[in-house]
Amino acid sequence: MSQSPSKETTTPGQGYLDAWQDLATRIRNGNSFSGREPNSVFLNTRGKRFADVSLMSGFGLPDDGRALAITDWDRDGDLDLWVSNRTGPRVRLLRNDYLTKANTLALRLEGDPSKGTPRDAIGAIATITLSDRTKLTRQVTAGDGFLSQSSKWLHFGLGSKATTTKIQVTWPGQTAGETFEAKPSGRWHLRQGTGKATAAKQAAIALKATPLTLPSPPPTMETYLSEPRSAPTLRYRTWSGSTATIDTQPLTLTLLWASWCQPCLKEMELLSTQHKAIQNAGIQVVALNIEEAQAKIEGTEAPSPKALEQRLRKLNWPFASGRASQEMVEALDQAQRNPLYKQEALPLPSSFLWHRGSLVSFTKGAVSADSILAQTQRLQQPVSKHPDHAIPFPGRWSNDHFITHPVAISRVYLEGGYNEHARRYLEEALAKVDEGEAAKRRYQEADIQYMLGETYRLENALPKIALPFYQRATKLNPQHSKATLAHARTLTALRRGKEAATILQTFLKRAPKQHDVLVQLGNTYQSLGQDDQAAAIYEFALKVKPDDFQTLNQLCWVLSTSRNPAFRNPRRALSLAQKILQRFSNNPHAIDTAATALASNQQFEKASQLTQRALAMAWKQRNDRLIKELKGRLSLYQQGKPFLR
Amino acid sequence: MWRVPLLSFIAILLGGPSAVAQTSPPAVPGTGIATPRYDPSHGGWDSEQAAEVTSSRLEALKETLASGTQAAGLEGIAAHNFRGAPLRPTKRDQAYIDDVLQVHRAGRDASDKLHGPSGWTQAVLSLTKGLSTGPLNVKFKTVGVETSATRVETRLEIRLDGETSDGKDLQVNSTWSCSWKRTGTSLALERFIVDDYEEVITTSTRGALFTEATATVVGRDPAFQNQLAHGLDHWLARLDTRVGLKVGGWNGLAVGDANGDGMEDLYVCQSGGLPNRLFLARADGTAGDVATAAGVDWLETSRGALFIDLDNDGDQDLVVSVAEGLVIQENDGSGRFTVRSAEVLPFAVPYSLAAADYDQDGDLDIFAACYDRRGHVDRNVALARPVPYQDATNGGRNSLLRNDGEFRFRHVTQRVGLDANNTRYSYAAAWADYDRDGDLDLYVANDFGRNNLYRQDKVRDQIRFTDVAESSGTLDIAAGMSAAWGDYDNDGFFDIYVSNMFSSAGNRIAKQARFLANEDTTTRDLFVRHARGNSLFHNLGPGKGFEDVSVSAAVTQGRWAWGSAFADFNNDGWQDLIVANGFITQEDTGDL
Repeated sequence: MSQSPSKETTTPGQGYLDAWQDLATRIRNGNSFSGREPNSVFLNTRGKRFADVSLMSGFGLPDDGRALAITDWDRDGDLDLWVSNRTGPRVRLLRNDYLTKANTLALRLEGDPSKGTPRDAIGAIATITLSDRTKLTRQVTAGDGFLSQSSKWLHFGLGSKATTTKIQVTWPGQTAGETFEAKPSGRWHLRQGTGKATAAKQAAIALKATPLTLPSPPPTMETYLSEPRSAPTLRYRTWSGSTATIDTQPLTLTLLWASWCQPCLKEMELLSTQHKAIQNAGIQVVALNIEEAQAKIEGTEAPSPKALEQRLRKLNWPFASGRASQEMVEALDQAQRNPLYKQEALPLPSSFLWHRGSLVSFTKGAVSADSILAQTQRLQQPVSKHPDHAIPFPGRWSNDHFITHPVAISRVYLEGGYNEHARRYLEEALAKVDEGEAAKRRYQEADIQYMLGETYRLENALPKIALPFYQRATKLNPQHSKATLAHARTLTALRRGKEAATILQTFLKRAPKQHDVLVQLGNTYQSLGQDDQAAAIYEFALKVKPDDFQTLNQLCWVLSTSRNPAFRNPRRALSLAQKILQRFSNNPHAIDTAATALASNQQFEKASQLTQRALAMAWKQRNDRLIKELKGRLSLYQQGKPFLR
Repeated sequence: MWRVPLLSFIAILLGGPSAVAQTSPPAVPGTGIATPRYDPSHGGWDSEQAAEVTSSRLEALKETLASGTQAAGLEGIAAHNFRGAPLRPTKRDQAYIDDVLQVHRAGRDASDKLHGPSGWTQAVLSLTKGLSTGPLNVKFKTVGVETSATRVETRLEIRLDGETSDGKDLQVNSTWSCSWKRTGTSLALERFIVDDYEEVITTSTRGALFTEATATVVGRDPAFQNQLAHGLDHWLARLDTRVGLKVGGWNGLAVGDANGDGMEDLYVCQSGGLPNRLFLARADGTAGDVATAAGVDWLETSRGALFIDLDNDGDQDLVVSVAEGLVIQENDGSGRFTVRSAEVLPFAVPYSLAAADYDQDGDLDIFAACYDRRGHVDRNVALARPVPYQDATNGGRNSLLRNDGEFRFRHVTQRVGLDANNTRYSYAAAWADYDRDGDLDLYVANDFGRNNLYRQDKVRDQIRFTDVAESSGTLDIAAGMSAAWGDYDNDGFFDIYVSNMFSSAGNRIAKQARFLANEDTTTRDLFVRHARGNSLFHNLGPGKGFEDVSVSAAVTQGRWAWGSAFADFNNDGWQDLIVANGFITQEDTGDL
């Protein structure tokens, strides 16, 4: 790592990146990289130090081990081990054969969601105290180690010591433990709040150990591309010595062979017998002999064209043929390497299937007529189906379930507080808006502009930074309710209430019962000191949504606290206050508003009591601003004065 | 990603690779692959050359240990004035005994009681004869080297395993210091010290702790036979990379009762283009794949998976981390799964998942440890590009998804404080209430640098996580791969084990004066720390932080470690440790 930038501020130099690339290439070319390492097992020699028993444990396998999922699979009281590997076999079960006379106890904890514990009881801690006072503490987990989830059964090895039968369980979020009684062996279910352990039904199994023999890979490797790749120019020499080019437009199979390659001859012989079926499917076949190219590299003499033609005649080869140039061999080698991660030499025989100027598939090893015909069949299907053919076993793609629209993704980022990421997606979305019809485009852009404004608002930027985005959004789509609200709210905050009112009124002309817009208009009127108009709007909004807290609260507030006595209506305010207290007694703001209504009716003692209640809640919430306001109002009430804005 | 970058950099910087062409026989001529090989003598690193030469000078010793009989040339290793200790110390203390095995140990022996070449022979035979060993597997690692014009000092880690002549299994773990006299190109062993000695022998001839049961349980299942029996390289040589296949093998496992029959089942994640598998356990302990019928045969590269009851209806739902984010499926109770949610993650590729009810509202929330940033993911790039290598901050952001019921989730990473130090290469995370204050805390293991320990507190009634890795003593600046909590010393408090990379070459080179000679000591120390291996942090109790006991507990040697776990395998009440390791094994043995 001599070339790694060592400070956060420095950017990596080319040498550093090249070295990583060099490593990646080595792996791709088949080199090991910290390979053949035996797994490790450390035996706890009672609390201070561990003994390395890796190599004698039976787990010291040279696999490229990855995930470890531990569970008593055979339920015989000791912990077995599932391991995933990069190398084959990619999963193993290792049975625990450590033969001690120790007792064991397995517990499955079940939480009670009504007590605030998930049923899986993740995070619950069980403790068992042994007779020598050793305390065993185990926790229920869901996911740890590396890409692993082990069993939710808690496992206790109890040694040979007789133990008490008391199990202390601390459920998450609780400080006092719950005590369960169980025999000091076996498998038990423990349900929160029952204090009783019930025995699990499933019995132990005698799992036979049989040696694992891995199947040898099939000799032929067929690769079907997940999308076709354009064909290189494939020039070859005819037997008469002229240069020809393979036409990759029609369905064409090119195969490489040599007269010394027995599997090649066998392959060609079989293809010859099936030539009718192949021709009927419209497939052109060209057999290309590589021996001239080989002779050039090896400095030897190639068999004469005549001899090779003779060989083909003996095979009854019914298709075209010729001689591959070295350039062509290299092009084909590249064509098989590009799509594959693992870089391997091109074997003989090898064949390539072309269609519409592109490579569709290739086979390393002998190809059969059946396999070619099957591949040709797949070409009838749309290109979007290619990935399904490129995989060897069926399955389902999860991609369809994920949102891909940048606006939708930006919403997730916005929700998570990643405003900058959200903006990046929105800007990307903005660039894409060009597609589609004009009206739709306007709506889309309005949405994006609104969201851009939100990214700034949510990161507590100054209101005037978000304003132009809201402005653009409402201009593009005046019926965008969220944009209209945000725009009006921002203008109101900037003391431009008149403009805000105009925007809201325009909106309401088309949608007079849009409740949230009505409430905002009321708020804007309040900010302009037009409390009578505000009250009228709130009254109207209340008809649309009679139980809405915001509306009740604002109306009650205006009617109780308006500076202008003509606009105050203590009686109406009092009835609203009663409604508010019935419904929203857990909300300190609601209680505060109700108190102002009582005070405006000269009921100062009640107003004080309520305000004190609200204060206690505000204290709990550490809502400093509200505390300050409540204190101010409380002292007014105590002096027998109502609160006026 | 430590050992090889180091060596390859040295090779590239100081001499360049010398290429040797390798061609497999049945190939079309001219299509073979030439791979560069690195020659330690090439870079001009005297210490690397010395490590190589001293190691080869010990051939006759290795041969003696491997065969159990004295090899010719053994005596010739020692100088005429050799002084040293026996390989198997005379005084050994019993450290552990149970029905199956016993452990004996001895500390440092620098007594110099054996003299001259014959003394050296005697030192070696103390082990082979003393233990009456048969043929042994012998592994030497040179983990330290210091050179001067006239001397070479080396430190070796030794692992021997095999059988005694009466058929008991044994393993010997030892650390040696060798002092060599250097005359021109020749080296003679002048002093031999045993720094540490541990001997594990079974009490009977029945040895192994674990026995292979794969064939019994899944061996006959077609999904195993045709897919999982083959290593990833098999598929990497066949499948178009565009189906999403990845070389690293970062595909996980989840154990849980998928169909509610009371028996645990196994979910196996696969690399892109190969469908994930669900093996349902049968009453006889065998298991069969039902992934397709269950609706969980995802084809995108899947890394982590969890069986958890997300809606508290008594069955196990499934969460799988794929490249795009998290696929969340509801279990209908019988083991059939329906997608209820697909959560995108901010620019990050999720790896390990860890669930817990962090906010104590009665349902499980999900934490996704994320490694790369999305844009960095390239089909053919096997390795990340961390910057800066030893403490990288250009990784993907981890996410905490709060369960809001009805399979709706909300990103709360930022608002709960988990976005602090959150752009690292996180491989894994684990929840535990380490300070026993009633709420769950979170440890995150990061590659290429420091880890996080997020302590949960309530501030103004609000949940707030604070990264206390540094102040609690659990920073562990290294190549973090996995994290697991467990109470290894039975004091009632959860300790943490972190798997990293052990590197012999890293241990040798990072300590050389010329390595990063222009950097400050702090940076250089970080590189030394990177090569140490796995870490065990002992929880000293609430408010007291952790003590790094990795070396004294002798649990650093986890090689290139990935998964790790605490588990009491011998049922004595003390949790043992297990580590899966090895990065990439291919046919070519020219490993770095």
